[in-house]
Amino acid sequence: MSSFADLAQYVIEGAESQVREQVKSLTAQGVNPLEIINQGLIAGMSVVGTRFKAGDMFVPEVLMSARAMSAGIEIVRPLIAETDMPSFGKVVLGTVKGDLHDIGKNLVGMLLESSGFKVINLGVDISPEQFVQAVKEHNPDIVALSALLTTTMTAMKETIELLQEEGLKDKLKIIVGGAPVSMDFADQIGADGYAPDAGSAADLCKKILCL
Amino acid sequence: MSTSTKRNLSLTILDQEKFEQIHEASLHLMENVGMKIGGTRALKLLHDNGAVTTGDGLTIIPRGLVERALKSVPKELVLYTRDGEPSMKINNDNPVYFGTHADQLELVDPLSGIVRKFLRKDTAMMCKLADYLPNIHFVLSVGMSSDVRPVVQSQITFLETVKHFSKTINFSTNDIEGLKDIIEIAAIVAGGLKNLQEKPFIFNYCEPIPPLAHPNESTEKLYISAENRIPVVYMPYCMMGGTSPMSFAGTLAQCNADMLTGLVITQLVSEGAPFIYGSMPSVFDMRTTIGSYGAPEFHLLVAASSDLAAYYGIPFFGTAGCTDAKVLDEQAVVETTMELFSTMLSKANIVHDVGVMDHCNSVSPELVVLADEIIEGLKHYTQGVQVNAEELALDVIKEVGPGGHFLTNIHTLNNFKKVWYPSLFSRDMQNSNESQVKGKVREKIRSIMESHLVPQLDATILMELEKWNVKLETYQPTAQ
Repeated sequence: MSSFADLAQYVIEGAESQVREQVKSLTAQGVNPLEIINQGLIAGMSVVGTRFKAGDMFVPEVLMSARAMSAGIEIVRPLIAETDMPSFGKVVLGTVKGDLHDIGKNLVGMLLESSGFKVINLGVDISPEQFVQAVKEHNPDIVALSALLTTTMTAMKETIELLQEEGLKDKLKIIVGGAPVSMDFADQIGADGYAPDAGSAADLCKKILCL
Repeated sequence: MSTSTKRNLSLTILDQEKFEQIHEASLHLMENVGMKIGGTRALKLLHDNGAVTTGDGLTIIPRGLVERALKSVPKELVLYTRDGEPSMKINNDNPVYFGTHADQLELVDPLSGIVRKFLRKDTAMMCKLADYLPNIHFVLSVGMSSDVRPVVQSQITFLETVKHFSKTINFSTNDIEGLKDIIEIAAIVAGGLKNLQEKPFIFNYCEPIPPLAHPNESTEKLYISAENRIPVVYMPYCMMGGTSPMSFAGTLAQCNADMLTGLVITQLVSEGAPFIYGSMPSVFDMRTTIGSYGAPEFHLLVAASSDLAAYYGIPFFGTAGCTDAKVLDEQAVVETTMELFSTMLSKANIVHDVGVMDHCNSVSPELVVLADEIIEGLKHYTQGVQVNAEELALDVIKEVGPGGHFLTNIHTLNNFKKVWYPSLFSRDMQNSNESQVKGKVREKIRSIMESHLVPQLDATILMELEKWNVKLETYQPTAQ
């Protein structure tokens, strides 16, 4: 007999094939696919999030759990109307113009996805114009800007200014992060939020979207 | 008082066979995986000399180019003081020199203990301290003062550093313009570019972006350094599990391949251009996502990389005296000491990051002072034990005889000062219940600030530097 508790446990263990089997078995039993997601997959991932914050789980384990959760979601996705799919929101993410560093930004992307956000990762060296273009195309709830260098931090400001000029800023929230970035700097350039690390970026996104 | 550093002990992490395996693995990465290389000038040189860029945009560097570069790179390097006196001689004697930062993102204020943003005026303080301390031979000017516009941060910090520091200056720049400007400024101080090239008192620091990526900015910095014959450190900073494989040997091979790519470019630009092997194979902390500065594995791999550099015969740029801790606590001192000890036993020659805290967010003058003392003590360890007639002192033992004592013997009087007497650490018979060390460190900083005078530059040079200052402060970047 399959159960949500087992499914959640497999997500916590990052056991992708067991998650698939369990989801298939639950759907075969006629269980509501949305319940499979909320009470099994997301429930498991939320334990993972708590354990990561407490220092009891490590990044590679979290990412394996996230992968297992996604594999489960892909199986039930065809059974659910697109508008009913649970999601915390859409995030457009990129490293700003002139900066080619991407490990931190990629980690933020993966951890946001594992928390239930849809992430559009634009890559590195993304100009203000490219961010504007992506916002028009994807209509995100949040734009997340990353920079590692003190020089490229100024490109964060330019990006925010261009979003403002284009009349897009009020329709979304902007968050910033990266080694030299601080809360003060975020306030200075008119960002809506700052997170010191990838783990707290997901919390920040939920907070500023009032979820 | 500082005694000279004699490293008569050494710790070998990699034997000849392991070195050859790692070297071969690096060549394999360069020949079979390829490097993502940017910069038209560097790429043209590479292509003209047999490298090939594939349809996927990866540049394959044949081993012949690496072998040629390893032959032409200078095996000895002399770096000078601002006045043109030799200060760091890197040669077969395996010497070691240490450096701290001229600036950082944040400063652990030595008087209040509070961590705050680094300001332009703090550079003079860091430089004065480093100028005084006998075991600090250079500073790294990085350009991060929070009250300076990023577009001129590197140059302004360098100006502050060169005015307030008479030893050797290592520098990194935010961009390519910054590098060109700093070479011009340094040439003024040296009395012309030719003098600067003959007796370099500056050396550059630049980095690829591991794994295996060398963007335009990195290759241009290598190019400009090499064509100007300014010694340059090429420093892959990778984090195991994040930007390098989660294994020691794989990480060493990848860092080595990234470094060799930089070496090849410098030697193609200018055969015999001075080059320094850099490598920071750090640990990506999977619990907190920081790149650790105090991890034992990091410092094991730094020491292992210094072995690789020694096999090649290239000067090695190390890392020590730093910590992940934010305040000067037990962790800070333990990590700092472990790193300095490892480094003293390794083959690292020019060692940076002394006094760096909070995994490279801040610098602490107090930690620099403590590290200076720790280095002094460790020199007395790495001197090793000499065995000869004089050191055996059999006649002295005979003279004192069984049951006697050595306190009044002339041999004791003549030699007792060979033993180290700490200036900050306590050996009191009746120790105080409270640690006195912190107070002594702060007192030492206060006294250095009050009484140490950094030699002044000539008035004519200062005037030229002031012109640069005005130019930089009013500089408006043209729209791109």
